Amino acid sequence: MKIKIAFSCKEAAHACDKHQYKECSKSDRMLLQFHLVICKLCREYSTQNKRLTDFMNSSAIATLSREKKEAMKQQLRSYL
Amino acid sequence: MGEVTLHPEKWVDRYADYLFNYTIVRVNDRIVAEDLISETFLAGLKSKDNFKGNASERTWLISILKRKIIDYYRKKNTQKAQAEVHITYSDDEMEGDWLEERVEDFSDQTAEDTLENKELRLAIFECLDTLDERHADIFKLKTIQNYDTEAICNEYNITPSNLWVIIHRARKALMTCLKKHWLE
Repeated sequence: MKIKIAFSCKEAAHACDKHQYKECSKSDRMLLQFHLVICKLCREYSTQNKRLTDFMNSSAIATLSREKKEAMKQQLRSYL
Repeated sequence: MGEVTLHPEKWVDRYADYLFNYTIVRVNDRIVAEDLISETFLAGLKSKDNFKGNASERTWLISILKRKIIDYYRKKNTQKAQAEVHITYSDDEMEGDWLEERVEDFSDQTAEDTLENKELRLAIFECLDTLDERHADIFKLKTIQNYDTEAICNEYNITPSNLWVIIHRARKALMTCLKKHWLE
C-alpha cells in the first residue's frame, strides 16, 4: 500500500472543510498542515474558512428544530 | 390579491429560522419565541387577504411578528404590575428594599448579545438566502444544529462526498457574500 505524502489543493480544501466540523483525521490534519506551508491559496482558503466558523459560532445563530418546524407546518396546513 | 405572492405552505421552510432569530433576541426565551412564530404564521394566514403585495412576504410577516412581540410584553407587564402590589403588602420585614430589585429585570438579559452579533446574524441570513434552498438547509443542519454527517446523508439520500461538496460550495459562497456584506 502506498502511503499518501502530499495533498492536492482539492484534497486540502476537503480536509479543511472537515476540520471545521472536527471530522478530520489526525493524519489528514498533518497532510493539510504540510500543504498549507507550501500553498498560499489554500492558506487563504483555510483562514477564510476558519473565520466563517468563528462567525457562525460567535453570532449564536439559532434555528428551530426539525420537529418544531414540522409541527408548525401541520398546524398551518390544517388552516389552509 | 393574496394569491399573487403569498405562499403559506412555504412559510415555515423559508422564514421560520429568520423569524426565530429575530424573536429570540427580543424575548430571550426559546419556547416563547416558538409560540410567537406559530401565532404569527396563523395570523398571517387569517389576514392574507390584507396583503397588498407592496412589501416582501418576509417583511410582511415581520410586521405581524412585531405586533405579537409587543402584545407579549404588554401581557407580561400587566403580570409584573400585579406582582408589585403583592410584594408591597406581604413582606414587611423586607421593608426598605427597592421594589425594582424584586420585579423581573429585562434590562441585562440580552447584554451578552451584542449589536454586532445581531447584525452578523442578519448578514448570515441574507447570505444564506442567496444559496440554493436545499444546500442552505443542509448547511444549516450541519453547521448550526450539528447534525451527524450520516444523519443528513440518510435524510437527503446523498453520499458523504455529495454532502461535503455541498458544504464546500455553501461555505465558499457564504465567505464571499459575508466578505462583501459584513467585512467591508
